[in-house]
Amino acid sequence: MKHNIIEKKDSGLTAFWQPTPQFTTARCSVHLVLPLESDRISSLRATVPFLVSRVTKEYPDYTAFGRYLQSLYGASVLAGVTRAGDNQLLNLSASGIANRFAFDGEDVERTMASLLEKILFDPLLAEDGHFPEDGFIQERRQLVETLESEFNEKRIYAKNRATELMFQGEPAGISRLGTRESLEDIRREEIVGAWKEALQRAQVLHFSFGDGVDGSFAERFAEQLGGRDCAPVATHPHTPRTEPLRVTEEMTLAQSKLVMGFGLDADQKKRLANRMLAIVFGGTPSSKLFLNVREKQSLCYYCSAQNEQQKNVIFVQSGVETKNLERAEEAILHELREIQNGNISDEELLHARLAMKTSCTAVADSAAAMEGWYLGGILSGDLRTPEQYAEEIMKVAKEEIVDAAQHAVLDTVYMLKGVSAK
Amino acid sequence: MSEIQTIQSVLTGEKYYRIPHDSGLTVFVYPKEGVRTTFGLFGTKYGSIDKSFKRSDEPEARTTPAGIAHFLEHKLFESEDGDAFSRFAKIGASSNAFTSFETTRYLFACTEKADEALEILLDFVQSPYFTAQTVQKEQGIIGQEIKMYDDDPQWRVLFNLLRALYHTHPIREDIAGTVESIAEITADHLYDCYHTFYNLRNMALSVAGSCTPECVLEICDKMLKPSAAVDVERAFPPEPDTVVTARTEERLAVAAPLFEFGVKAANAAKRCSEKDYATTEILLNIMASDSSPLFRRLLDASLINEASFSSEFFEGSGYASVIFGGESRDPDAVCEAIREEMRRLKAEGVSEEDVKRTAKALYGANISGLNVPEHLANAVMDMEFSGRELFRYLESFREITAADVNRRIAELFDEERSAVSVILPLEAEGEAV
Repeated sequence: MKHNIIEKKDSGLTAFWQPTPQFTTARCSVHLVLPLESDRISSLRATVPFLVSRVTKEYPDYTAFGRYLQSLYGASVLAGVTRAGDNQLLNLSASGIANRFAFDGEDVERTMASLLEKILFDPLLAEDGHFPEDGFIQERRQLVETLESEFNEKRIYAKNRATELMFQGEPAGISRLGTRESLEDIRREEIVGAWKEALQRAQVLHFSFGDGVDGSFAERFAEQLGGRDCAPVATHPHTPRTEPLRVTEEMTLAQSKLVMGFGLDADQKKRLANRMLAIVFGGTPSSKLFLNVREKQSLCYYCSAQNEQQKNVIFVQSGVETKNLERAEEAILHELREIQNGNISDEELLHARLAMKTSCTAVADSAAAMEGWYLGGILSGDLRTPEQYAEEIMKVAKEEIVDAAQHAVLDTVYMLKGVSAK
Repeated sequence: MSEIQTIQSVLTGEKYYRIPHDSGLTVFVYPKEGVRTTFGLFGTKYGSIDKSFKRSDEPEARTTPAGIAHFLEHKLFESEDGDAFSRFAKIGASSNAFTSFETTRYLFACTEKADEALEILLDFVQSPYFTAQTVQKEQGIIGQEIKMYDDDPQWRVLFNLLRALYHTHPIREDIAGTVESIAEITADHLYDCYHTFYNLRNMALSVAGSCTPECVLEICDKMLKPSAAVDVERAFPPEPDTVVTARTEERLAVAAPLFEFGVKAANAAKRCSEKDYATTEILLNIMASDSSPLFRRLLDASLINEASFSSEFFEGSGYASVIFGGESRDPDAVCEAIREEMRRLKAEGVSEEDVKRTAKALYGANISGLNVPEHLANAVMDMEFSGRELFRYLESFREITAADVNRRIAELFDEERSAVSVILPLEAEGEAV
């Protein structure tokens, strides 16, 4: 894959673009990256992408704006807020069909790119210079409901709780949306300031994909941004605890959830080995956790490991019977000890390498995957193409994975213990 | 020699191939230029609703415990000398499977050695191996899968609704069965159902992305084993047009209530045509998408949110319903607003302008799906198993008029056949966020 990246240091902008004649779609997106600071600041900033993209100056009515997008072959404008390492990302995207499928001859791709700019730089404000009251009330309410929805999904809830506990005292331990209280505390009059601050301070990552895209989309975006003094984007690797933090909470559930967080060796050179450790440990159906904890011991339906590269940790997640919580924890630790003792077969190593190679090769097949790849790469200062990465990961030796496992430290054990209804 | 039929969309220029293979298997190949991934899907028309069935070589229908289709999906990955996952892993391919109400599908995705991956797929699905011991081991894993869904409010709210709408149709039963029903499953049950439903005449293969019809056909010729000339018929108990109950409630560890409101269609014995399906989607979009007046009223009243409110046409063998759902602090107020909107639409109908704009949006949404090999392989198989064809469906969006939509309103919207399912927070845990 060719690497089309433009860096505009004086605008704090990094842009990636890729012509994609093989796709039926086009997409433009922008991510504003800001350090996580407090629940209140998270909440305040989190409302920004939702408020700016709710309506436009041309379509000030929510329903009329929706109808306009429908008439553009169901184009979509989406807002979101995510966390990457110690940072909060305010995300906005505009996507639609590639121009060649527009039977009435519209230029959907350029319309989307220009819509994204209007949304971000020139949103609709009320006469008093603030975001309109009705939009503010609805978007703030919906953010509270997003937190409620995450509580409803116990797998997500348990992982969020474990993340919060593991990274206590670090920016990454702050919720990307804040809390219900901090969301309810923000006022409409504060949002314009948060929007302006985001435009002034955030590192900006811009992506464009489509039939006819080239560097001009990003150039125009850089002009709009102008010269800025941005906050540095940094993430500090997690320092593992000397004694694991253990937290158990009870809830009325049929199945308990177990999340274990492991700290890893912070040496940057060991990143690839850490990644491979997560794959061999619990990244695929050929991994130790799947084959032993699920298949041999029938302890669970899912038991998997993921490497959060920027924070340099591995999370293991599983859903088990309450009476088997301790047994599952011991079984997971046993598999890690196996790796620490050098018990990785040639077959396991080959499977893990090939799985990584395939997933790297497939990145070019999806705009979302390309965006995810380069977003992670830009934020962690690692701009290898998926192909370069695959080539290097194929060379990671068994000894390096064993060494990575030997530096893995159990840091946090979170149990969401299912109990019967009282 | 199997004949290769080319299916082409005049409107979009997209094309795929349909091959009725000599073995009885229907094969689809959807090449996408410039794509690196090959996605293969081998599916059988055997889902959770097929508890009772009649083979053409037997006089009577048989009934089996709930959850066999899904149990088979788990067990087919195992063979006497290892599991299929590791065979795929050796060549860098990933693999998985899933069971729905209607079908069971096995898949692989890879970026190289696609020929080998396809051979493995065709081989393992055609090589059943079950023993009492391996069946028992799987009961533990599936038991945990069932319990995971027991805590999933989205899953519970849907099944509670289906139990409120349907008296006898097996759509009301959980796809994986229950801990009790899977305890009854034996290796013999698995072999019996396997030999009934995994007959190539009841199956389809779909390959999309980096592939050619010639290569796929060559591997099919080599790998497909002849099937007995047996057909299988689905047997459902008679289902009344009425609902079981108009309202059902359950309490779970959720922070705020969830609901689903469904209207059951009468006379659902026959699957609907491409055009009727697309017309129903247009209707639901006009009625409940985020640019509809109903959505706006509910949003402004703080009764729904954009992330969760949705509608769908839930249609299959012997059942069809329109379903609206989401999270809401006051599910009853939302359902009342939906009923009111149904009455308004019945009285006033829809406009040509709304139909044209919505049809354009749904056409665009479908075009967007044509990027992804996984989606393409599944879409052509979905269409085949439901007696429809992908491009006829896609192109029908340009033909649909307000009169078509108004006819669907009259056919579908009968409040007497509606029910609501609500999940409420446990009283002590509702404020946990």
